[in-house]
Amino acid sequence: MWNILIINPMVNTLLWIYSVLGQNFGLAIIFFTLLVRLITYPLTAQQMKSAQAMQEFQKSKKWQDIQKKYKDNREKLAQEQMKLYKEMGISPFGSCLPTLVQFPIIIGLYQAIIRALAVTPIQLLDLSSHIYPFVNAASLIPLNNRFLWMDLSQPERLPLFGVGIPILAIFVVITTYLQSKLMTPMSQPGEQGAQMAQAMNLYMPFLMGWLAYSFSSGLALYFVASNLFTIIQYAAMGKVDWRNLLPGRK
Amino acid sequence: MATSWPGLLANDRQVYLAYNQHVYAIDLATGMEVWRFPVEADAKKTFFAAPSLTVDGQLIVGGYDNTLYSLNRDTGSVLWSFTEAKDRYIGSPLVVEESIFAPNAGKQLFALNTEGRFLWSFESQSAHWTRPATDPDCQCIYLSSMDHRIYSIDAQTGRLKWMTDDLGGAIVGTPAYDSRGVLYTGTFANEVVAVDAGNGAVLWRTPTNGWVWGGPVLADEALFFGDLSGTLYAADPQTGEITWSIQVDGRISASPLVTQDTIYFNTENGSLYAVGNDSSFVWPQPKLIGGKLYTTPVLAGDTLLVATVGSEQLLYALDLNGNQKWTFVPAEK
Repeated sequence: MWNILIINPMVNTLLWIYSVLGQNFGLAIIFFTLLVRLITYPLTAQQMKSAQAMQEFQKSKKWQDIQKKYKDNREKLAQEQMKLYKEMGISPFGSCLPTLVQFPIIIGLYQAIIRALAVTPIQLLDLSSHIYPFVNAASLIPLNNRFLWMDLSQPERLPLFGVGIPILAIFVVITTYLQSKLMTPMSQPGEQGAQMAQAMNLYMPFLMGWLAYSFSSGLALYFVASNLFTIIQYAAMGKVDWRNLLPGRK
Repeated sequence: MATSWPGLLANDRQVYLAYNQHVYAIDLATGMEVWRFPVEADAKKTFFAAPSLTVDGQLIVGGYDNTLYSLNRDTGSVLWSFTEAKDRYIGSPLVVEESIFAPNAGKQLFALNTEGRFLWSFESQSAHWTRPATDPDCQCIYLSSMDHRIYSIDAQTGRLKWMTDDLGGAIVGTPAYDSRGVLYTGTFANEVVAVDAGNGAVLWRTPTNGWVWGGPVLADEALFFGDLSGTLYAADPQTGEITWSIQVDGRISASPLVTQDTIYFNTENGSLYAVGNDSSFVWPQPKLIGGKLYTTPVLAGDTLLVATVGSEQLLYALDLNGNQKWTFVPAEK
């Protein structure tokens, strides 16, 4: 089911983009990422709307009064919180549900890229079972894995002065940091979840960077493209807070 | 996790099996391990290409560590190694008298002598995943490439003699050579193609139902090959006309093993079939081996050897009726 609904459409779309874009797999990954971003835009918009509503809820005087009033009664606090959610028209799962829906898409995208890159017999045999009969894969295979200085099927290193520098992994760290920093709402002192958000902003770039360092550069290219498109998408919607990049801002 | 399937070779005494982190020598009579190379597993060294034997008893095997090894066939000790390749060895080396022709995934074919001395290299546009074919009359090497072409190369100098046009799809099986001067190959373009071995011109094309992965086998005035749709075909080598075909339970990626009166072939679903030259089933039911079968079966004397992927037993030895003689499970070391 996973293959039929997620992997097969993605693999075939990727192959089609690859054939249209002059058999350049790097460009195919970038355009494919853009395409997926556009298709999942309604989910992103819904997520942003819910996140904003939740932020307003956190700041509302009514909620702060309720917190003070029922600070020693967690059960009552929860009941009043749900009542206020209803009153303000907020769905508590409104911001995480679109994110959850996007998870399989992101995982599928990664798997589709790795499958399409097939550089060993088992991988190529597996790829053959995902290709639709009407896709003229025979003329495309083997895919051209070269993009700029990279072999997209291998972890990326740019040889400089005799040392392999993981340029793309560094870009992943930077763009992941920028993305999280720009899109995290400015926190109030003592705000619930602020500490967790700060920790995520710090650790997530390194986790993504490590993945980009260890796995094939096709995946790292996807991370960079995805981060940049997300920043551009949010900026176009006026949801990026550039002041978050200023030193001293949390 | 393994990235390919076992490479298999046998003589009248021993079986040589290349799979994952070791090359195993196994006693043909008992199925007992004689030696393994390397003795200690090394994650950087993996082997999948079928080894080849030289006339002076060297076992030549290419690894995914970009190295071609010569091993003592009796002890497994390294005699020499060739480390100039920039990519892995997926295809088996071809040994002709005192020359070794090793296809490499890095677009190159390396020619060495049996002392491991580099003679020449030839480069195409893409990877080579299969053993080249040869024609002793013209001292030619026929090299199939994933760039959709077959190349004819002078065995002495490495100079290109001719190359075919783009045949429409990648070629990962060894071409069959016909002494009438014809080469037969299967492609990912759902075709088997006959090519003039003198100039590379296409003589005929025959459509198939799926990708043809294993090279066709020429025997007894018939051409036998399978495809990924699970169809085994017999074709007339003169015209390409399909004389019969049978549909089985799974994808066929390996070349069939053709003996005087029986064709043995296996499927991804783990079944081993035996059919006659007229498509009649020799065994009433296929032998269900288990795991996945991607390697061409090998016949050593009256023992049929079948290598598996994803089964505890790496190798099955059967008699010609499909009865099990022994199995090989690598010992934990």
